[in-house]
Amino acid sequence: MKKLTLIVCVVLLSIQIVSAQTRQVTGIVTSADDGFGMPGVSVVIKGTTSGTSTDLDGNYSLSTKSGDILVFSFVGMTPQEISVGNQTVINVIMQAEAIGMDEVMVVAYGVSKKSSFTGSAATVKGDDILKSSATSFEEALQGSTAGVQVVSTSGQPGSATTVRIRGIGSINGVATPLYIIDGVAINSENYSQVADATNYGTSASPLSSLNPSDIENITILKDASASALYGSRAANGVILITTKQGLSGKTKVNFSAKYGFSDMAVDQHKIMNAGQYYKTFFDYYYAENGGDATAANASVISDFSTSGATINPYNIDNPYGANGQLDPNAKLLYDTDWRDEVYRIAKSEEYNISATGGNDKTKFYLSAGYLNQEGIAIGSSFERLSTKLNVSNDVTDFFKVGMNNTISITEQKTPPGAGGGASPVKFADYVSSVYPLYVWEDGVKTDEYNYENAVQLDFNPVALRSLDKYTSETFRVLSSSFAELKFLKDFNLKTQVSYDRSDLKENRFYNPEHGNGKSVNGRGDRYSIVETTKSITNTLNWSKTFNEIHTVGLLLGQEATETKYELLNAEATDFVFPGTDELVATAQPVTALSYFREKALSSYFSRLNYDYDGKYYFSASFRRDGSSIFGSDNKWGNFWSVAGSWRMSQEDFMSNLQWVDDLKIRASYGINGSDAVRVYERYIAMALFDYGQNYGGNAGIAFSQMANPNLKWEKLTAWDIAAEFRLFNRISGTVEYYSKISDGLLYDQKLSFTTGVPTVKTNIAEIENKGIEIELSSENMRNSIFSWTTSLNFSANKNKIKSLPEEKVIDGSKIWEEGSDRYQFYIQKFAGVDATDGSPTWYVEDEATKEITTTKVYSKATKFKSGSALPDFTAGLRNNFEYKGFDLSFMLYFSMGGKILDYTEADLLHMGSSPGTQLLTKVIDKAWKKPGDITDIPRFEVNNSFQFHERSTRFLHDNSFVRLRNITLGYDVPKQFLERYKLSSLRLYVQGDNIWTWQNHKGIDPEQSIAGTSNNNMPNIKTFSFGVKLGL
Amino acid sequence: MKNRILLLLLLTLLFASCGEDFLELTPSESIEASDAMSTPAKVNAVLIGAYDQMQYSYYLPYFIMEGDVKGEDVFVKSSGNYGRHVETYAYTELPTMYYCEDVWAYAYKVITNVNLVINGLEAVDMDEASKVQLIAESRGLRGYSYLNMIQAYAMPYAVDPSALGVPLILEPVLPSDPGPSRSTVQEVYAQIISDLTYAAENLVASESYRLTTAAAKGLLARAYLNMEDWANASKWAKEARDGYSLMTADQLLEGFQDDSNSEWMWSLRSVADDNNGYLHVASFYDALRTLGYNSFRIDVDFRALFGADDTRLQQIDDGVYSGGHVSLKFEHVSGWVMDQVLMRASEMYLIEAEAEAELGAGHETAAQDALFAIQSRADATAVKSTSTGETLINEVLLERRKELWGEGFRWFDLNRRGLNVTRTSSSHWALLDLPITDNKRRWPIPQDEIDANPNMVQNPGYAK
Repeated sequence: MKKLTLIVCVVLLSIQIVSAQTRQVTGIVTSADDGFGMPGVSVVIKGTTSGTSTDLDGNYSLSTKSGDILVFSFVGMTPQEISVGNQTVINVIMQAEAIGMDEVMVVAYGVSKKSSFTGSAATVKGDDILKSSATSFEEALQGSTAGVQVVSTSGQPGSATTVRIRGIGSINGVATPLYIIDGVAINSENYSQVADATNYGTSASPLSSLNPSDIENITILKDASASALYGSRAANGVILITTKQGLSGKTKVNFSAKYGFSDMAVDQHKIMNAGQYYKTFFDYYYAENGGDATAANASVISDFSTSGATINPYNIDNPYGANGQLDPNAKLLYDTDWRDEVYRIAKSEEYNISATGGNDKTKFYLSAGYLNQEGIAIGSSFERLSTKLNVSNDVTDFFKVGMNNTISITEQKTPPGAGGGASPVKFADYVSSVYPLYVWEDGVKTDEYNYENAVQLDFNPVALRSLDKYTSETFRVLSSSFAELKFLKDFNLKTQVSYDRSDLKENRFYNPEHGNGKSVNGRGDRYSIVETTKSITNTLNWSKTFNEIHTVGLLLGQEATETKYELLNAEATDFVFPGTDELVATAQPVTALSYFREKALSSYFSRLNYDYDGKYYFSASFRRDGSSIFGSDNKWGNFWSVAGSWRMSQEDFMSNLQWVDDLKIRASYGINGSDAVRVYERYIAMALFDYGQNYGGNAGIAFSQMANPNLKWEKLTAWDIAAEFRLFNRISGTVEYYSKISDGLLYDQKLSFTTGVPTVKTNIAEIENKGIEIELSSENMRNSIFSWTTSLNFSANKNKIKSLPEEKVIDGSKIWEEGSDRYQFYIQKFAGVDATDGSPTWYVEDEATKEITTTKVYSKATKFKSGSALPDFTAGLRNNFEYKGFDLSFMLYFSMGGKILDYTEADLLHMGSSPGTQLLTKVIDKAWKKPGDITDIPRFEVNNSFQFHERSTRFLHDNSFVRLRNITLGYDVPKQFLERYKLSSLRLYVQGDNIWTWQNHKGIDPEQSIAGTSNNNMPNIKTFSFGVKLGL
Repeated sequence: MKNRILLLLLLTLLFASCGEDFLELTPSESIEASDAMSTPAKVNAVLIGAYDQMQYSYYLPYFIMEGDVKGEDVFVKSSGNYGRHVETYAYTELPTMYYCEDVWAYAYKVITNVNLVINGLEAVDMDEASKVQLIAESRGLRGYSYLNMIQAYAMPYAVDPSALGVPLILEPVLPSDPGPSRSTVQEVYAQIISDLTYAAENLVASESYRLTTAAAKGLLARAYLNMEDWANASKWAKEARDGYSLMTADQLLEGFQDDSNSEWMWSLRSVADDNNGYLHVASFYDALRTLGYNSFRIDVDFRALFGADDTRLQQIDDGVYSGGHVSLKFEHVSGWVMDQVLMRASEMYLIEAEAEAELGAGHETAAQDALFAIQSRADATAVKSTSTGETLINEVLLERRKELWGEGFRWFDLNRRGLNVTRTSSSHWALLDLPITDNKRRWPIPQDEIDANPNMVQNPGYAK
């Protein structure tokens, strides 16, 4: 082949020699990376088809005329043009293409070249999303870019993740970003009644209905300039998701399959086994009863027993003898490790198939995906079936139509979390191992499940798993159609109508035999929850370049959105027929209710862009929003931004600095808003009496809400300044500083209860977020067989409350006051265990004198500011290695500083105050035993009321952690092996998620909640998976 | 030209605005306040709503339970109970705890709703007599709300009538109004007497799930008893029970869950579709265990006080589990369709007995008779007391414990009589001896009220 080329070249050459006064030019083309000659570089005379390509050593030879210009080009390298003039030897050094700056990125209501974009936005590629095994894409954003904090609060597959962009700018309001898919704002609020975070500790993320494999890329709009066009919904940042679109040409089919295994990401607190637990109680009573072992044994067994049922894990009545030692004949009948019973290695499987293709006029992308993922706790799973079709057609050269469609069906099974008796997670942590899984009769195990324990009476998570039901099925359609008309050369009119409908069908069933449903002989709830959003967006774009240097772009737009939430709930009790959970089979209908909640948004917007010669850029945007939610005096609000950038590297004075490939400075300023209200707050400005306040079979209403006609949007004033650069053709990055003031924050202002309502929604509070973001990426090594790239992002955000209507507000374990941050702990300060008697002590500050003393009475302890739950900084570090067909990448996520309040640790150090509740093993060695013992765990005393386990700094810990978010090793089978099987690509890979974690405080997963308090949610998981991707 | 027309057309389309009513939406779950009192039916619905606030688990059901669990005769297991009532039992309440907050918050919700009724009635088209009935019922509920609060959050009237009480709210309060401050105990009682007297004199009602005429009179008797106005207490107690006769001894063992008997004067009704039964009083006493919490136990020493022939001995199981006896008095009905007693004639007899005994010479026979009515009903072998003075009073107080345990009286009896809370028995895991002067004997004002209302003063002994 090469020979043929050579021959052709020689022939061409000879023709040229014959034809004119020509000059032979020779030279060598080398790579800037390694200095070696580059084979195969195309050398063409500009404006002609004549040319050659370099040989194996990078040499070329070409006959030219003196006026010719040679164009050197190679894939991935910046093309170079050199005039021949009098030269006979032209050596060229090829530079890798500065890809960063000319990428096209998706922005608000359109696309923009990265070089001309004046705002702050980060793009994450679909491929990087897929490097995580997360069910839902937003989880995969953790560590991927600066300024985005992602906290995965539960290991339940399909559950919601907390995402915050550039700090927390809300007090009581919703602080989640706005999610836009292919130009359509979608619902991201959790409407599940069965997996409801407030009641059941778990949640269902509406975003999990989307298949991450369909995502082309994600753009995160961070500053006011980038997001202001979304006006009243932009203050918490905007996440734009672009799905894959069709490409013309031969239809490409891709198939992928992936299998995985998950386990708890970190080890949980070490808890006692049955023998240790029994002995702890026995030792106490033995001492109390002056060495009377019989009395001590009886007391222990009585403590573990519930009325009527005796629980003794040993084979004999008095396992401990008169000497206080275990009787040699005593044997544990069982030693229940509830965690073993409740947790499992969870399996997951995922298959995706997609096809993309089309011709000049019609392009399509279609896909189908199936995911089935078990949770690590029994009874937990998530299943998703999704299909997608994106299609577009050029009707004429000025008229285009298209449609994007997603349909997905999910089924989530969620054992309840939080504090409820039915939570397997809490049960496994809290119920002591002295309780058996099965009933024991006279020392013999039966096959009947045991429901006796002194903690969660009548519950047994293993048994209830198959008796109770918590299922949440979602059917979601996301459909948008558009028509685009180009006219008068520079105008483009686009109309998009969209429809987003989530149908949630839920079933919660408490069986009649045990647990929650026992007292009513079974309870069944069905919910149908539908949220529908209809919207229409019309935009008119005009863009024109004058005198080749002035480019002006103008966008005018209008948008109207209507959202309706509808709920239908039926509840019945008394399930007379075993084996059915259908409400028709009940004797007692209990609840039948329905209602809807609507909101409407009407908007007008405009953006102006100006670009002078690719050097100076200016943009301004304006949006006017009218919302149904806010007070009659404040329905309409105006939002705007201005921004500018200067590409210094395009200036002549920079041209000497060869090592500077690109340098851009930009700044923006603007005002955004946030409507920040949840679904139940859509009528929040009105004075209301609620229905359903029924009594004794009569319909009642009761005063429920104070009016606030002044209620309006939260207002965000933000500025941002940044430098973007690319140096030495290797290192690129961004350094950015921002400051945001969130003002008029929606705030549940406490009212005196004498008004009849506890709070009224107001716009009072003000919060500031300031921060630094650094993104760096470097191509450390790059040649034809090996490459190594590193990218690093770093974010530090400082959150500060600037003003509050009250001097201070105590919100659970937190205090809000001017000057402190939103998640500042304010709790009792532990003063250690009194060495003389083993009692816990806390600090007391005298209000008048400020003198600090200690107390043994918890209710007298003073609360102190004790540090913030927010991390000092977070960082992500990704490395990619490629060698021949192999690639290895890993991403480390760092979260440093920030505190966590570990309620599980506290509760499991009850020191005898709740017999039957599990204890940590460290009680054995570390608890106070005799005067003089210095320790931080008090004495063990059954039924003590010293309240050691109440909230205090004893259980507040630094929560720094480093996590290996993911690591992937892949191999692309070389093409030559694939050709005979008619395959275009084949990739095999293994992948690990969260497989390594370093954490400062051990015993619970470091990712609990953004507020830094532990919960009883399913712990986060680590996943090992392997997969294959096949292309036809 | 053609293009220009097209452009114009498109621009018009683009800015075709939605009508203003696009943004005017009305709720489906609520009535806008301006319309909430527009008809007699709606006014009545607001009053029903006030009862619904009273029925809220953490208001009356819980308050009734605290009434016993903070005394000596009933205790809560320290575990297996999800922490419920543990702090109130152990006297370790904090101003942030829901026990203390919800009684306050919901009492004021009731007060707000009835104040709205009283205020709104003027504009409603209905006859005056019907209006008087609605006002009487409203004022009765208001008086009851204040009576509940004053017993928990303030010094007893008999100990210090000039101590701080609770804010008196007689008109709807707006956020812009200055935060109300605490009236004195005496002022609050004056309002209670005024409201309850109006109700007692005007209300014509006998459906026991709403405030009855008898119950309004009985509440007045309770208020006078707290004020140690013995003559009025006795007078109203007698009037209140007029027309009601005591349950039979057998009925005492029927589970206290059905208001269809001759004795109950007022109760809360739970129906199937409006029910939070697992937090019912009976749930915590439930002997069947798996139907409810079954976390309350009866003190072993208390059970020992009952005579062998006393029917009420059978209201307490004789076995000892978790340190105490299981109650058999309250049946926690499967499905929770049941009534919670708020007032019955026995209490009226006991008020009469106590008041007459306090009135001393010339009143002792009346006291002994009233006492004997209760004793002889439960125990056929009972002998009428011949005691007088302090001895007789103590006999009546003991009889109150035996008759009314589990119905929410003991804590308040200890308070109004200025007695110590003394727990010595082996049943108790929080042993105490708290004199009436101990700050823990009063609940803290809820922290949220303190935070929201600059004019609110916390009770002594609680951190700010």
